[in-house]
Amino acid sequence: MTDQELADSCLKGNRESQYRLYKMHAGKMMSVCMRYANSREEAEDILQEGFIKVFEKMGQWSGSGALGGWIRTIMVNTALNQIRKDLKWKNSTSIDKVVNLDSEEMTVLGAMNADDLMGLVNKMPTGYKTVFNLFAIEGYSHKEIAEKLEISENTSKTQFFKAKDWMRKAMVAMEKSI
Amino acid sequence: MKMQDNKLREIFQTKLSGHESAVNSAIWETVQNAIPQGAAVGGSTIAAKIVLWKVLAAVIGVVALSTVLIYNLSKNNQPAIAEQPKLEKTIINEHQSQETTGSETEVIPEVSNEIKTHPSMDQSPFGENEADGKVENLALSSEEANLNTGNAVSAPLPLVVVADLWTSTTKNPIITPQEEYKNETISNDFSLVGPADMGLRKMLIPVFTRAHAYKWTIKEDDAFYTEMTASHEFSRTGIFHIRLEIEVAPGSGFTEYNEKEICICAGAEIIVPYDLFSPNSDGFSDIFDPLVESKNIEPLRLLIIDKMNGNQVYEGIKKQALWDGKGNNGQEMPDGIYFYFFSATDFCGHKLVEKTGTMRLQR
Repeated sequence: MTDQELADSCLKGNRESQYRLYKMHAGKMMSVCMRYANSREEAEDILQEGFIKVFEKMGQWSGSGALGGWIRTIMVNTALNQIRKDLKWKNSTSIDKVVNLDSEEMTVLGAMNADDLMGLVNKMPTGYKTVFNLFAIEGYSHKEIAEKLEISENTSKTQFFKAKDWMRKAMVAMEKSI
Repeated sequence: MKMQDNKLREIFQTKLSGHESAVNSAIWETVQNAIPQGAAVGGSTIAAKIVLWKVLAAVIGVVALSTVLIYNLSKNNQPAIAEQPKLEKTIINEHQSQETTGSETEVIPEVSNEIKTHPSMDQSPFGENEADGKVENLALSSEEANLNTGNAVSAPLPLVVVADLWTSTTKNPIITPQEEYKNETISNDFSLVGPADMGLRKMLIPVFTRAHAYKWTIKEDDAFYTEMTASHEFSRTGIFHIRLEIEVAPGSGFTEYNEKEICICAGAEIIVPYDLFSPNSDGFSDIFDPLVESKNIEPLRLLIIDKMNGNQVYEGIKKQALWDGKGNNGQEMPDGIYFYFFSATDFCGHKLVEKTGTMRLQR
């Protein structure tokens, strides 16, 4: 069954197809939601709301791209709506030094497995985490993130630097604990 | 700096784009209650069967629980107390989408009472709430029910997996995760996703997401990516050759490959930068060119009409779709007001955009 056939069948209200589509994407989307949410409960709320939206708006899927990508976009937008109240950008002071990870830290990151990376992202404070997710994983540019979150491009960049700085400290702490 | 950010993207996208987390089965229950269901073939019977099987699974769970409890109690008191909440939670978890009010809760610990729940199934085959509520009551004391309605418990659920496997033996089987993996065929196909607000940045997404390694090549932009889903900002609109190579297992080599010609589009809008037009060679608005500030479009036709008499003054096709103030025979047109009609397509020929308006010619 192609994406198109599956989507059509879901639109007609075929419960089996709806379940099939849900099963195909729920695990991955849960992972997306977990990355944005502050708790598992919150992630479940987002996933639930997101999937209801997916089924309600199925008719709006253009059919040109992968259905999975479209669902992902809806999920990310739902997550952003949900966490918007937690984002306090006003407190974010700009930092003037450019934060860069050294090659050793990059190697450590590269060697970490998916679950460890998930854990690392999940532990970040909400502000950094949101920007980091959008930039590093969803692949948006700072300009696009600024528009999405209604912040300035500079705030987005600053948050990303902070995320990297935070990550470095977290990795140092991890090494010490080993 | 930019390189490092790309490297970071590569690391996180490769590992996290396809990452999956355990999903609480209660979510589907809520979702399916919230979305419309059509006259799907066999849909309602499946729903009824799911209920039946779930109740059975839960009953078996309770029987098992009771057995374990009785066994443990008779043997040793300590482990029984430790095990009790864990098993109960599993059952609560499956039905947590249904709210249990404290007043409804009754303690019916005996196994013999469980059978009483079955007649209610016959009366209302869709009465999921009712059935689930009763099953839940069996395993709960009233205090614990009150405690647990507020707190979502979210560990993976052994009972639910059993229920899912069983439903797959019905006539309209629901695909279980196990079957999904088994039936998966390797595809070298891929697609591009780019929401409108992403402009020329598109995500390259393979159909097959469980391979060992991926290689993306975009010839025209001289770009190369090794993550599973690549995010690429195209340098322009138009046709691009995109090639995907897949290494299915470590060391198996990049045996699967696919190359597609893909047209990259972006929203096209014609902006006419000025409505005063002075073709007097002073270097300022000497040429009426609606494309000056418009990107991503290919001009199709520019038509200039004299507003005074309605005569067609100029017509330019494609690259000639701009006006220097001269008529088709090369004569300079007098100052005055003119209509313009401009049309264009995006580079893929997909969209026809049009713009009409008036403009003053004043040398």
